[in-house]
Amino acid sequence: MIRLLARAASAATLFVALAAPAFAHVTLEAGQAAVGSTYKAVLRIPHGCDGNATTSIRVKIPEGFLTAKPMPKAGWTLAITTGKYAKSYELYGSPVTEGATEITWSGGNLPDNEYEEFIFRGTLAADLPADTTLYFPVIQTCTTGEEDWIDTSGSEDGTPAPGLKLTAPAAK
Amino acid sequence: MSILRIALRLAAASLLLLAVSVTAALAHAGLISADPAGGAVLATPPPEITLTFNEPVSPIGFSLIGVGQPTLPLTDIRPDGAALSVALPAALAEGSYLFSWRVTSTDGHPVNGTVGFAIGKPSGTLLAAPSDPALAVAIWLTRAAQYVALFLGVGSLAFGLVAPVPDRARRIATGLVAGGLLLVPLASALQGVDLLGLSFTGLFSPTAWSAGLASTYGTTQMLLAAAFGAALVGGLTGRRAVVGIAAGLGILAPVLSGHASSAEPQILMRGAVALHLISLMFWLGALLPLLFLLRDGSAEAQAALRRFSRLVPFAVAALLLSGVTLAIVQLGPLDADWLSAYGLILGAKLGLIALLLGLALVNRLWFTRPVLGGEARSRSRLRRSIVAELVLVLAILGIVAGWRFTPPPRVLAEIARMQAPATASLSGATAMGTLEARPGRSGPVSLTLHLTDHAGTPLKARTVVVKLSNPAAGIATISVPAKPADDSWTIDGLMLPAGGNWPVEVEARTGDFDLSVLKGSLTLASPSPEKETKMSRSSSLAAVVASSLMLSAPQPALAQSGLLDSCATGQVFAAGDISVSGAFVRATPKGAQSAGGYLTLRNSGSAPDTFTGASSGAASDVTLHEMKMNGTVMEMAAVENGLEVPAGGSVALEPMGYHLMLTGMPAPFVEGQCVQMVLHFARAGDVPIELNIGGRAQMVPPGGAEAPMEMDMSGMSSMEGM
Repeated sequence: MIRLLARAASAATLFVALAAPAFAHVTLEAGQAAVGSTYKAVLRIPHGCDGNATTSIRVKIPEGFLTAKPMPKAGWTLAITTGKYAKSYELYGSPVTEGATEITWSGGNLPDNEYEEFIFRGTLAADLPADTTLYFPVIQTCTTGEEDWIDTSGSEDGTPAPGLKLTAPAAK
Repeated sequence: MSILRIALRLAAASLLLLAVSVTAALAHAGLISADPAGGAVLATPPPEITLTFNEPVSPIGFSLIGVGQPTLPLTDIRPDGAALSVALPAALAEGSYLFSWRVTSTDGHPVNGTVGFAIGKPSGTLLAAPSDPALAVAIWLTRAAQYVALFLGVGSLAFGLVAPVPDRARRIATGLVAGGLLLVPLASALQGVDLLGLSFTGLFSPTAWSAGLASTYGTTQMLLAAAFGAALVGGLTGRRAVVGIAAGLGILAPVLSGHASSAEPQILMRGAVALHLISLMFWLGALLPLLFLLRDGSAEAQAALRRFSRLVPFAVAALLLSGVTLAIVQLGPLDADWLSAYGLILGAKLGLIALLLGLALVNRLWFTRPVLGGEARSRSRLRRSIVAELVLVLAILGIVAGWRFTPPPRVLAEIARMQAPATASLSGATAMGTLEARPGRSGPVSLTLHLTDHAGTPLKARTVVVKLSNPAAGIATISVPAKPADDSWTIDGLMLPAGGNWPVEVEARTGDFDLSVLKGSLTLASPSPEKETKMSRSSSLAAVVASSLMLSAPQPALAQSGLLDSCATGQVFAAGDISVSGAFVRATPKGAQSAGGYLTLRNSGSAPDTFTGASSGAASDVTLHEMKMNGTVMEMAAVENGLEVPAGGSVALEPMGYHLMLTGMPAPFVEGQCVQMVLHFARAGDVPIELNIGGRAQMVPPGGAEAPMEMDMSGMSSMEGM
């Protein structure tokens, strides 16, 4: 029993250690969600740009992520860009044609050695294809330089865009 | 087991878990700055390169790569907080260098990159003439003077093998030989200065001297020194045998270097050069002795003249025959190439030689017979004619020394061929394109990039970044922004120091949030090292510097080098639940920079373990690689997160699959010896092992009674999931 526990602990350690590299990127806390569900996106900012403090975070809201609303953050100025969606979606029985397309938190100062999360919430359109990845490209601006988390090619190297794996809606 | 111990153990385990996740969340290390900075052009070689990261890092491996030069592992590392200083070899030559680094950040993630910098001026020009005119004149003068010392000095003394050499002629010849000997160190040093691209004042730096001596021209100078030394002894003592040896050595010296000797077919060319030089030495060597002999009409003088005139037609015939052969090979068919600088020098030489032959013909047809008949007036005419011949000879030798500065058209044609571009087609989800590298070979290249969307419309990109790496040569990703041109993107003077396959990734930023990623693969030719040294100044200097570094590097004692004279075959090494068997590496040729390591890992425990890495004194870096077929292309990639050895299973690291890649070996691996290595496992900890060194194409462990271990197929299949 004890050996088993110790083993489980070390296996867990190993798992965390192996998964560690992914934490070095800007990522979403919950990596997958069902289409048609409400999703709270927690954007994790693990570091600045080459050691410089982060001053702004810009997120592009992808097509199909409806009625996105950011959570305000003390010390940061919030800006929401709205626009028309590419098509009309149906949400709770009524059509939705426009909403936030970009969210920016700016004017803050997040040192490189501190960690922060930026949160927004929205609904994943029911007609988004399951088993695909929906990317939320992020531009991280720092006191000097910027990091562009906009690579949606699926590569884990460099600066990939934070991705959300879409799953089929839970059976009712 | 007591409750307390259980509690302690659990606490420790959870602490570990916490520690790992906390540091991981703090992110991986990023390079903040490098000194010298990437792209810097430095006046003098930096003693070290300093990398500053945003957090303290652990060094893994560092290497320096110059043009056409093998990767040089760097091991003198001084960490200082978040900075790392890596000592660079002393006396780096002018040219471009790539510094590849690999470190581990606190989250355990390996981070790597490459910093390019140049010393003096970036490598690029092939076969540039010395930029310093004083240097060019000095090189030309020493060459010409050494030719004179060889043909008139050694040649005159060697004429003693045919007929007696009068004292005055012998004294002059001995003087010339002594002069030639004195010029040997100067000629070597000048060559070194030229190779290193230094100015005239560089003559006083020891680096130039050692570089000159280490070059092929250094060998020539050593032979010349021996020839002059022997001739000096022969001239002073009058020993004909010694003089004969001197003449032989003197002819051998230029045969071993020079433009002609580097041409194919080498046997024919070297033979032609040797024949050319022997006949030339006979002819020119006769001039001084005859001049002095013919001051009187003695029987001795007449006998010498008779012998000479009997032999000289053969010498001239051999001279012309070999000369024509050499000219044809060097210049190719009679065309515009004959008007190149090389051809013009040849033309001038041929003109003077025609004059010389005319004089010789006159001497032979009109003067020789009357002189032999004892006619005094003809004798003095013949002497005047010989003086004129000597003047012509000096002019010819002067012109020939000028060849030092002009590559023959054959070489120029080869350079043009090697300048031909290499192309790579690129494809991505939203765009496609082509990448052209010019020239299509290792060294400094210019890249041109054409990008379109899938409809064929040129891609409107704001910025384009090209990422290149060469895993086989141990070169980590080089990331370079491209400059926009008319309808393309360009990168100029990018140093790609190794040939072979360079995976390419192009990132085109088309909007704030839009990035097109295209991938492809660029294959660069790597010129053979021998031709390279002969043709490109920049790379021959690299080779010279490399070899002089090798010479000066202390040879590590066998025991400290991670190498053993011998060890048993079929050994099994174990620690904890892990056992290692069938461990071997392949012997490496001298100067090889990598070797594969193969073994079988077996986990007898009931929990999986992870092979995280290995270290050895016999190699500066040991990494885990995987070979796999991607379509028809064999790819090799570093495995970074370790390799799982399943519970009760085994994993084979063998040729054509997973294997260990040893790089940066201070000493070659000799078949029959053994390499000591420590394997690191997540659970079992460190396992010290010995790897038998097998043959170069060894596929199974040497002595392999134990070789085909009971291979566990469940273990094999679990590998595929990795």
